Amino acid sequence: MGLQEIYTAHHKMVYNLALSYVQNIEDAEEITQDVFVAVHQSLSTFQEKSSLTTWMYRITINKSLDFIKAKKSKKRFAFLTTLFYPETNEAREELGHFNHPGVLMEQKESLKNIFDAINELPPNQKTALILSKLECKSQLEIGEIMDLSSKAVESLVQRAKSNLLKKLNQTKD
Amino acid sequence: MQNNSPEAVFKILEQVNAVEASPFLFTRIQQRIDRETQEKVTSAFSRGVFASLVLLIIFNVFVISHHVGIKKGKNIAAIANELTPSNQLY
Repeated sequence: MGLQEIYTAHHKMVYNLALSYVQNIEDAEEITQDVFVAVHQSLSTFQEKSSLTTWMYRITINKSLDFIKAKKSKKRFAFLTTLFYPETNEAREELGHFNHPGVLMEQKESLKNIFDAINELPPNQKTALILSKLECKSQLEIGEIMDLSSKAVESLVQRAKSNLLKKLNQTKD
Repeated sequence: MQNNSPEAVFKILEQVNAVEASPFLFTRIQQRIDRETQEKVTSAFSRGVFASLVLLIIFNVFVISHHVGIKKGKNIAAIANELTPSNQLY
């Protein structure tokens, strides 16, 4: 199967999964590019121990988490460099702004709060929650993607839900 | 006021729609792959040239030092011959 065929079959999944992690178009497109470049480089070594779709999910999750980590690292050192364009002296757009195209206007505020809380979860819990609630995967499917047992997935999703609600209630207060 | 009950929160999450990526995204991916492949080739070529130069220098140093060593050896032999031109005792 060539890259074009793989792209045609999986790009929507990859792009929307990336959107679930970063909630804006530009970052999601960059992650999607990272994923398919990695697929192109690793296709010859893909051993078919899992299905292609599961493999694509894993690469997308890893690339999304790497992207977020790199961005947080950049933010930490941002005070060392100016965030203003030297020519116009205007402030740069805040990194990681909320611009999810799959969100209705009237729900934007609520969903931004929910995603802000999701973004604070540990990576494993965030992944389990995204796969469960946004990708609508079963525990078995999540277990295959994350290489966990069904019980472990169930526990992870429960903890993620509990922590998410805790954070949302803290924000409300 | 936002309702943070579990049902309300997860109901809103379920309403997030899947969307299509930009139609030009695959073109950008292909361009990036081509660019990275080109950079790898250039980098490999540069490393090959550098390694060849290093080997050439090492080889030259070896040859020169070996040649100097032979010359030194010959000089010592010539001096020894001058000092003892003959084995004859008379």
